[in-house]
Amino acid sequence: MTSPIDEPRPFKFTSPTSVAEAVALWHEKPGDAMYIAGGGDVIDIVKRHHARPSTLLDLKRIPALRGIEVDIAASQPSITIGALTTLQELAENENIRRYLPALATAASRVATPQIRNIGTIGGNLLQENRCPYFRGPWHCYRHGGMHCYAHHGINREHAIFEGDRCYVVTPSDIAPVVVAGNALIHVEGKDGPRTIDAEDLFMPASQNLMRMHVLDDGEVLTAVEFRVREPAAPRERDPKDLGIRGTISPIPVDKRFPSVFIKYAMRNSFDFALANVAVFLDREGHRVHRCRIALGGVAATPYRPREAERLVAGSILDDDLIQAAGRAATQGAEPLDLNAYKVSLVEKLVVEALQELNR
Amino acid sequence: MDDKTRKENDEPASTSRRSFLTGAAGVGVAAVGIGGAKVALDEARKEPTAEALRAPEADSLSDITLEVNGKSVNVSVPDHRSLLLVLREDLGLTGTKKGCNLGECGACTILENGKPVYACLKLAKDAVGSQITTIEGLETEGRLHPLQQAFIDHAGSQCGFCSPAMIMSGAGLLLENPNPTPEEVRTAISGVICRCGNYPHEVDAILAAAKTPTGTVAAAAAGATAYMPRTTGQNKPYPRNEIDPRVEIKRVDDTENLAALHRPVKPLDGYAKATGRARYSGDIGFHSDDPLRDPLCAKALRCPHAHAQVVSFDDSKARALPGVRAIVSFKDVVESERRQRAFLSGHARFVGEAIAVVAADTQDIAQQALELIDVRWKVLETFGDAEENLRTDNRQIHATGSVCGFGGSQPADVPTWEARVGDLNAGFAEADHIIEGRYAMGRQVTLPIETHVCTALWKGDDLHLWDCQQSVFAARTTIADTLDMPEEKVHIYADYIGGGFGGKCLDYPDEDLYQLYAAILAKKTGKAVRYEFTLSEEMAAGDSRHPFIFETKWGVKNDGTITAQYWNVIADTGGYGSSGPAVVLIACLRLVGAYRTPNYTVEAYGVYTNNQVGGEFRGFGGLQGTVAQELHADKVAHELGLDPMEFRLKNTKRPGDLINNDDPFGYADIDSTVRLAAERIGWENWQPPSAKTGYKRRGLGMMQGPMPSGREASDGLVWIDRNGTVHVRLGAGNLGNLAHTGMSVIVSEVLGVPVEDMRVTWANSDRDAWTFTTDSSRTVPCDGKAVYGAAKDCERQLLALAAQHFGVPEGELEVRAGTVGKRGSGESVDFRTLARLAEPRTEFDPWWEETDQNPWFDQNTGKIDPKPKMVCTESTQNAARRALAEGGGIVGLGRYVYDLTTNAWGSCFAEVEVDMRTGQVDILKLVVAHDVGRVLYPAGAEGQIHGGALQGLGYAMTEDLLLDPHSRAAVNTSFHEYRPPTSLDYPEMVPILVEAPSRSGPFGAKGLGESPIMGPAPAIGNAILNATGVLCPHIPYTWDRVHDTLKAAGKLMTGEASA
Repeated sequence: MTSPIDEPRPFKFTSPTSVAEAVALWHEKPGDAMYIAGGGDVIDIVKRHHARPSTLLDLKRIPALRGIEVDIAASQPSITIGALTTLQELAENENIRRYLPALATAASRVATPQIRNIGTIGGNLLQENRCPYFRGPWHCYRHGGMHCYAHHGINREHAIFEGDRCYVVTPSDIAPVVVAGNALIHVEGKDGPRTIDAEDLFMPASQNLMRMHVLDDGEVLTAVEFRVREPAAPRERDPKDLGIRGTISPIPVDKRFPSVFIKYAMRNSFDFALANVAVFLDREGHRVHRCRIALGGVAATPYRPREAERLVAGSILDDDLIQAAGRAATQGAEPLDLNAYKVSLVEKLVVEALQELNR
Repeated sequence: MDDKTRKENDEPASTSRRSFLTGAAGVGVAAVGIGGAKVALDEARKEPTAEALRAPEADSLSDITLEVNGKSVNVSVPDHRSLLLVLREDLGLTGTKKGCNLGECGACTILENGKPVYACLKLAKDAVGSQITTIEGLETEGRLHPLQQAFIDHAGSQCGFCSPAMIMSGAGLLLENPNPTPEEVRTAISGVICRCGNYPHEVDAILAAAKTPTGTVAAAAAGATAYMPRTTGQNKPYPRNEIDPRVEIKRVDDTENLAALHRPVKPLDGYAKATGRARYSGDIGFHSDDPLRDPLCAKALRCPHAHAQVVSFDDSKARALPGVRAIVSFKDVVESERRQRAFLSGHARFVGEAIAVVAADTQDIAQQALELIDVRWKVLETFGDAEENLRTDNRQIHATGSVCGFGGSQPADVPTWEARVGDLNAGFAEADHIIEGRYAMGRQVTLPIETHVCTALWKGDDLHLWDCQQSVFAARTTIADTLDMPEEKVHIYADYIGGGFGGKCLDYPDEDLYQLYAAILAKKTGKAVRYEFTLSEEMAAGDSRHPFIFETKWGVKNDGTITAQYWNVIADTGGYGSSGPAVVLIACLRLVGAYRTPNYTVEAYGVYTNNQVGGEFRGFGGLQGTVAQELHADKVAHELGLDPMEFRLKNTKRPGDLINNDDPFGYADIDSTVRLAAERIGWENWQPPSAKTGYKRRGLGMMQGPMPSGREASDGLVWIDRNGTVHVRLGAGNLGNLAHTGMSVIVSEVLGVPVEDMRVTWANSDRDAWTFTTDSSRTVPCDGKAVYGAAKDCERQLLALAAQHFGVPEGELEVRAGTVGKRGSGESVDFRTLARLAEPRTEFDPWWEETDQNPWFDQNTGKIDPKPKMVCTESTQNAARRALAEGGGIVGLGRYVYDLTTNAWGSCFAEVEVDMRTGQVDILKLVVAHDVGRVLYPAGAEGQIHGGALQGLGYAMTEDLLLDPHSRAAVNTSFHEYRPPTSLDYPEMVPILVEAPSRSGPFGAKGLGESPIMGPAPAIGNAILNATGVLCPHIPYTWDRVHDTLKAAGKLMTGEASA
């Protein structure tokens, strides 16, 4: 669409210094203020006038939202990541790379170096969808309309799972990781702090079409907590495996890692995933106790292919099982006119991720 | 081209720009009758209504202190103002470029506390407390940063618009990692799009800077934190071996004589571009030494419907908004019969057609004014399908016909262009095989990083335009014509252009005349007015490559001889004809001009639709024709079981063959062009698809054929002033193709003066030599030959003056290195002395040689003049007079009329890997070979090949402006969804140049601007065919298309992941 507008409506920019202050300021003008962290998404939205807030509440100057806390010695070891942690910090942090390689890989695959320098984990999780109809002048369901223009329009990049009137997909590379990694999301609102399972953070299309996440009005995402375990025995890597389009996490970690993230996009930089996957395993030797798989880019929320997870959990991973899990992951897919390729892509992603974990 | 050092940081912030909020009511402007576009009197300003005055309370200023380039700067800005605008417009630091303004192109990359970030995504108020470094801050005590020097030395800039951002990304990398690998460099610059596709040179330059032993990089890096690898997580289909960007050249034997052609030269504009000093049209108005300050902001109101008629238009509320200075709407425009398309129209024929323009003190006010204009539309039925419109001869878009012809609209039974040669039926009867095909191409947009921008200022009756214009003379003619003004009253300046690729060339009727928005508003307000496209305007209202549908049928004998070709061609020209007919013609010339065929018929139609207007884009129809023909050639070879290369070399037209039954091809070294490239890709390993197994299959593909190389006439002007300085005055727009450096080398070769000692200027419609346009790969072959003539003209006069000086015959003298000397003796006289001896010239006959006088097609009469008069245009003569008046001396003039036999030749080979389970295609290698006649400037030629191939790669793989099937509005109007290639998306590329001099080009040089874009799409398509056995007939080969094509052919594999 041809819009002559690319500067925002005037607004106030205020920098509170505590979460409580930010929440209080938000409630001074409910619905008229927006939080901003890195700004990669929010500035785009206000410049395109998709939102016209009167105030932007800057979260970047709240010290409590910063820092990565690593508590390995505890009986339940955990890593708590402040919401303002930038994607570049995630990609570079030694502890993240060691304990949560899928997260480090995912962070390093987001957008561009410039975006990774400003983009935060909190902002990445809560970003708006990228449906071009939603971001264009079309008055679709998500804008309160009564129509999905993508359903019978250009839907090359839309959902193949759980579409319900609307077919947007979660654009985040981090979201599948927090879901597969069974992370806890800490938020704080006017009624104080609360904790959400990562899987429940995202809003399915069937429940609410107006928002991508379940945070209440004025709530701030404060931290993401992962429960972690010491990585198992070291492994060898074959340097020739640095293959095509991110088939394998190329982070040079020398420990065997329990998680993996793979992303396929049309470009190698500056691009949202056509589909991505994060897989976390809990296992002993080749015997898998639990398996969590989350796919991004295929549904409005990170999509868990339960059938594939069930196949893997309790089994010994071998090639046949991996192929079966790949096929199982595509169960229930309902492609639109232009996105049938995503079904084969889902199979490929799950197979490649499990193969990588099974080396 | 003003390279004076400035201390912009010291400039106080401009706060006066907002004072209008309280003062400055109506600006009384007298009635101005502007010819073809008559504009009504600006009525007296009404009292603002309460509603219009709803200036948000938030729109107040904050005083902030920014730390920019090591200095504290106090500025007073509104909260919502981005750091980018503050740097550029308030502080005058225009080295930081504004591209998409939405964090999608990277042109505004700066360093915040040493880390690269996008200034457009940062609010100025949010930058308080950060150390901001811009390109202007990299220099220390007048010394360039090693990265800047490396960009100059390694031709790191083409158009240069992304160069500051590339350099800042590189600086951020080198701060952390003083010894990066090529992959790390590619990753570090992956947040900046270089639309020229100059990534190999940019990587080369950054690597070279990292190796610089001294300088600020090493010093800065000493205090940096421990290095962390930056490549983490990047998938990498690019090869691990280091790419050598150097071009391989097959020289002709006589080159030893040409000294200047073999001297390494730095790009003329490298310094200005690497330092951020180059002032692009959008930068004018923010520096103390600019010809104007703080221009008003103009914005266009555009139709949201694909086909609609205005019912009512009310701009009274907008006029009442304080700060709005003028509004011009379609009602003020008198439609001209000379143009099919009014530049503001109440009958919108595509989404985004402009209906009114507003000038206001700031962009915020202009935007608000647009929202206050009430327009009611009658929405008309939308016709988006070109084939359907042709079938029904749809007259609802243009009443006189559904087909656009050279003379306007025409009915559906009259093709835009047709050719009938031989007896088609006899040809098919003679054939052993009849092979049919249907090919379709998407809509690629030029998408320069610098969106279209023009600033207009009237001085009396003279209109001055700072426009991002490739073709200043053609634009001057069109604009003067539309405004009914004499040409010499319109002055166009285009010092630097941030990427054009054809989209910034105003030479066809009915192209978007955004220049007039600025011009007319400037006339009404009496102030400078600037009109700048937003990204989405650029994509949806700018130029796009016409989508084509080709249907064809070939008759072929068992041995591969082609007996007949039938082509039916349909091009979607959108709401207006514009360049459509010419694009169709060029596509068809490619169809008939590549392979020997005794019997052929071509019927081609440019058809109106309610889609975006197709425009000019590198390749200009030739690309679409090439894709269709080369894909079909491979299909034929595939079905006959022949080697595609041998099939082509057997049938290809060769020098002496007729292009279309009329003009012959000139000299070209076809065999070297094809076989050298075949050798580099490893064609000897070519195997038919039947030999491939497994789920990842590799394939080789190729294309070859003639390439365009010029049109029309050019003048040349070289002036030796009375101080002996050589001035080269080039009319061509500086697109960043480094052609200007190449043309300076031509002058250097003739006069023996090093390029560094010349003053080279360009693209000023008053000062520089006239040229027809800067497009169609014509600058080097046409302008280059004219400037060669001008240099020879200087030589002629110098020899005559020296003969007089020495009192010897001219034959005993020669020009050498800035002097004229006696042959066989050291005695010489310098240019300065001779220039002072010269009488001011009164006749202005150009120097030319026999091969410069070629048949010329007169566009006005439609007649061909076999021997056109060889005189310079009035414009060039005036430029010559001006030069003489300015500094005396000697003026040399040249003239060249395009020689149709100047044809370059090219080939492209690709290797791909296709995943048979998903349809994913990875490009592994591209080899691009071109016969360019003569290599004048290797670095420039390399850049053209890399860049063209990269744009071709985008056309092949991702780039397609998708229109919503119902509303016909463009859906993917952002870089994210449109996806031009990034620095991590190109494969190993091998550029090869072959020299086979043309008859008339300067030292035999032919054009290279468009050729390299032709290759990748067909070569990749054929490689996919070779890998899978399935032809993908639709460009681009996106993941979904290849997947669905494989599936339809029953070739999609499932299950077995590893075979």
